[in-house]
Order: sequence, then structure tokens, then C-alpha cells
Amino acid sequence: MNRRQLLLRGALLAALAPVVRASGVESVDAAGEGSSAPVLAVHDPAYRRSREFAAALQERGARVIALEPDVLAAWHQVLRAACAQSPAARITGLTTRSDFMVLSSLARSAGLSPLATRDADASGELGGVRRRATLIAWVLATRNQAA
Amino acid sequence: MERVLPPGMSAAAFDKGLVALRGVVGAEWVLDSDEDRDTYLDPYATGNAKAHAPSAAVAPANLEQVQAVMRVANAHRLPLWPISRGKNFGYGGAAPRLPGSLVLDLGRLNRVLEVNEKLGYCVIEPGVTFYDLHEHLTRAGIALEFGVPNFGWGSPVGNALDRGFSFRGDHSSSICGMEVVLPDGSVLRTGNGAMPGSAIWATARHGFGPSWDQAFVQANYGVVTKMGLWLHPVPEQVISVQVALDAQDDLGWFVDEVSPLLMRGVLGGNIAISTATNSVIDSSQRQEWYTGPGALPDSVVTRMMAERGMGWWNGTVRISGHEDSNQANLNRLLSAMGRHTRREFQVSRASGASQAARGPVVTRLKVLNWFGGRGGHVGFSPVMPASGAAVLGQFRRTKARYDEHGIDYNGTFYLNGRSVTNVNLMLINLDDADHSARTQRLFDVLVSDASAQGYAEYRTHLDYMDAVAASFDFNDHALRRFNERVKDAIDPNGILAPGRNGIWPSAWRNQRGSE
Repeated sequence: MNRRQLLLRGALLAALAPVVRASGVESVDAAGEGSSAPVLAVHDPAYRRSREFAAALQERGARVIALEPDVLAAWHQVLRAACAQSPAARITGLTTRSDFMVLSSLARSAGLSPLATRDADASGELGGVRRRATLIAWVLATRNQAA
Repeated sequence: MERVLPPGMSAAAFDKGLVALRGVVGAEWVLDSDEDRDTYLDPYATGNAKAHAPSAAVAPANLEQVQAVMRVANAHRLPLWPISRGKNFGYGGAAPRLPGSLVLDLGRLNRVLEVNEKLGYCVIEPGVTFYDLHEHLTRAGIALEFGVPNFGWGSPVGNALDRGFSFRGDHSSSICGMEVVLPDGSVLRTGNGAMPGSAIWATARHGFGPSWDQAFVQANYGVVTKMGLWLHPVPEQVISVQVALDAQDDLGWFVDEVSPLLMRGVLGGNIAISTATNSVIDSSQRQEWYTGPGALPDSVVTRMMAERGMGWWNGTVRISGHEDSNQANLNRLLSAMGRHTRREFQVSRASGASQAARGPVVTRLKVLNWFGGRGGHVGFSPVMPASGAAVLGQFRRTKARYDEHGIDYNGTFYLNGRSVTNVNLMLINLDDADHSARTQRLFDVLVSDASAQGYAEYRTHLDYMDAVAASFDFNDHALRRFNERVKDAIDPNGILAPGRNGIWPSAWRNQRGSE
């Protein structure tokens, strides 16, 4: 990790602290591997902030999953099975609003609800062209955790 | 969002109803936190978000729970708004017409009950998604497929019940047999399903006596808990012809040449032809093309065409079937188009199996990033006769209105044979109140323009259901009066989807035209 990444990850964690806390990664880190509910950190590879946010959570014990080839496939091929295997799992990410909308809707029938959300402006890059999109940081958790 | 109650209902009365619902489905499946409510809002609402805000949601797991929920709703006068997966985006999403309604979320009824490869049908529950069905067919090696719409993450049942369509055509025409919970909680099976143990429920449509399947489409007479849907055999081969037409007026001859081929069965399903903008909005952002005032100028669209090698109109004509007949049908298509243009069309061939193996995607949702920031979309979708002159007239009127309101024009015409459905996608910059307001004004004027031509929408947003229904006013709204007589007869307390598509039960009729 270079210095720029270190600074960006630190800034993201600070700015999105409520979401980070709600994700439970710190408790995973503190309690040691395997002793707490898993945290799945998803990211949109098109957005640097999204990647770095997931990477920062990975350093704290989260499992990182890219939304590839798209969010629908990621849910059906990876996330749904992971939630079935660990019903207390939490899913978190810094993604576009549309991806959050899709995921929160799909996860609803698996008993997951939004636990925390926070807006975060970010720019992305695809094909060498810079783009602006409003990203949102969020946590999905089982309803008893959300209550 | 804070809780919005049904009009005139006290919090105490509403809470009593929730307690009863928790007794039916379990406390965890009555969803009434602010965050829960937010997920059922129309994410693209341009006006007052509370106008269609749900009070809560209830998610039953099976038929018996759906029946029990209906009984509780009657006892407590709770209006319910059923959704399959709630993906009716552009038309209101999962949000109810009447504010304060409880969303009846059928997402947990998600079983594929039967697939018959030989006879080409499935029987599924409303919570099954396009992806689930695709996965089921693929894993079992069943050579059948179902058309998937552009935003392919919803429910085939829900989509068919809203007359959604794909390149395979109108999905409501694939319906064959339903199980329906009526507003009083009783269960009905339509068509041949009314005969216990019927061997032809999902293969022969009409049964004996009146056919009721279509009466539950775009209506509020019952909650569909099972549906038979005809699937399509995977074709031996698919030929794809990339059509690019350079001039705006080329749309006219294209409609006149291709529609007869659809009517004669040379081509199947429907054929979509879209503006060049439609091809760039999910793979670039507006600021890369234009940062000036008003709508995208035609000169910018010309630049898009040049940079991306597109025409003003672009589409893919699919020819599906056996290899020998496909080639003959391709020749007919190329000959018809060759009468009007010397342009070469790119033709590719693939096995039907390789096409069917592609799963549904939601990449099209990237259109929401067109402006950057918070994006939304609504669709204005009138239907007109399959005549080049009629379609060109509709295009010119609509584009002029878009330009007048400073909104980027983005239209697709779906050729169905005898009719053409024009889906106008309006991308909204939700961070710009003026843009949202202009979009609303544009929508109003388009509804009025289309009505003047004798064209109505095939489906519309919650905000416009009353207005569109009101345009079907032959003999002093005879159809609406009939719809509402039926509604009052089977739903005297008006608990099921009040106001859906302009059908208001007497209990809530004073809400017609409400925001």
C-alpha cells in the first residue's frame, strides 16, 4: 500500500465512521478471526473510493467481494450463499445508489435490512474517462441486528 | 422516512392491525422501521415523496399466510399494495398508489413449482426472479427460455401482471392459469385449474366459461400466488442483424417494412429501434458530451453517431429458429430494408443455446449515472398503430416537446406487428429541482398530446394512473364504472391496491385524483 492509499483509506474510514461501526468490522478485528459474524465488504471496481473502502475493511477482517460482472450476479452467485451459510453476516459497501438499491432489495427476502447509510461523493474512472457519481456507504444486517 | 398512515386512520387503529399481522407472519416479517419503509419508496419520485409512501410492509411466506393477511386487512381496514419483487421502476417501483398502504411483499413466495420441457411451460410463484428462473432452467439443462426485460431483476409473474415485455413480446400473453387469493381471503384457480388435478392447467388457456386470467392483469381484484407461464423453446440458431438508420425520417419506412414481417411470422417477438442516445447513456455521462444549456442539441447526437459508429436509430433484429428458415427470413428482411438504404447491416449468427445461457443483468441501471449524483428515470409509453406516418408523427411531436422543456430526448419504438409501443425514457437529475419539475411538466404535456391522437399508455407511473384511466372515457367512463362495480363486489372494504390503474373502491373513491 502506498502513502496515497493509506491516507485515502484513513479519510474514508473517518468520514464514514458510523457505517464502519455499524458494519461490525471492528468487533471482528478485536475478537479475532472466526469468533464473530462475518462481514462482507462489496465494491464497485469502477470507483477507486469504493475499492479503497473495501480494502480498508479487509484489513479489519472483512471478506471483499467485487460486484462483477454486475450486482445481480454477485448476489446470486456469492452473497446469497454466504448469507445462507452465516445468517448473522453483515454486508457493507461504498457503491453507487443503484447498486445499493438492487442489493438492499434482493437482500430483503433473505431477512436483511439497511442498518446504516451515509452519502459520499466520489469520482470514478472507466476507460480513462473521469466520472462523477454520488456513492453511498451502507450496511445490511439481519433485522434483529438492525432493531 | 417517517410513518405515513392511510388517510383517516389513527395510529392506534393502525398499530392494532400490525399486531394482528405479526401474529400471522411473525414479528420479523412485519417491516415497519424507517429504513424498511425507505426500501419500498419510489426511488425516482420527482414530486412529494410522501404521496406514495407506504406505512409498513408485510411479507407472508405461503398461500395460507397470504389468505390470513387478507382477513386481517379486512378486519382492520388496512389497505394493502401487493408486489411480487417491486421492480416496477420508472412506474413507481414498490410504492403504493394510496399513501399509507401496507406493502404486501410476496418475495418469500419464491418457488419454481414445475417446469415442463416438452410442453414448454413453468408454474412459478411471484417471488421467483428472472434470475432464479434462468438459473433453474440452466442448472437442470432445460432447453427453454423466457424473455428478460432490460432491467432484468424483477419477477416474471409481476412483469406479466403489468404487461411488461421483452424481445419475446408481451409477457401477459404468456400467462396460462393462475392461483389467486381474493380480497376476502378465499382462493380461486383460473382456467383449467378450476378442475382439481387438471392435467392442462398451464397448457390450455380457457377452461370452461369466461376466461379470467387477463382480468387480474393491471387490476386490483386479487393477489396472484401461482402462475403458469409459457416458455420458449431455445432455438437452434439466432441471427442478429444490427440495424443503424442515419436519418430521423428513416424510422417511417422501417416501421412500414418490418411490421408486415412481424405480422406474417417472418420475424418473432418484437423489434426495438432506439435513438443513438439510448446507446450511450449507460456507458458514459452527459458531461462528456455536453455541458451547455437545454436539451442535448442534434449536433451532439451527430457527434455520438460519428464517434460510436451508430445511426440516429439503432436496434438489433433477432431472427430465431431453424438455420434453414432463418436464412430465408434474413433474406426477406434484408431485401425489405434494401429498398430504402444502401447501408450494409452487420449480421452475426450464434447458437440459440449460447444466447439462452446469458443470464439477466442489471447493467442498464447505469443510466442512473448519466447526470452524476442522484439519478432517476420515468417512462412515458404510449401505443400507436404500426404505421410509419403515425410513428414518425409521434416521434416528431415528442422530440419537439422534449426540446421545448430542455430534457434530453431518448426514445425507443417497439414494433409489435399491428401496433408500436413507444417507450420514452426520461432520465431525471434528482439533485436539480428545476430539472425534476421540467420532467414532470413534460410528462403532463405528453399524456395530453398522446390522448389527442387517440393513443394511451400501456402502463404508467402511479402519479398518472388516474389521468390515463380517465382518458378511456367512452360513454361517460363506462369501462371505469364497470371496473369499479366489479371491485366493489369482490372487495367491499377496498383493502386491495386501492387506486391501482385508476380503479378505486367505494371506500377510497374520494382519493381519485389525489396527489
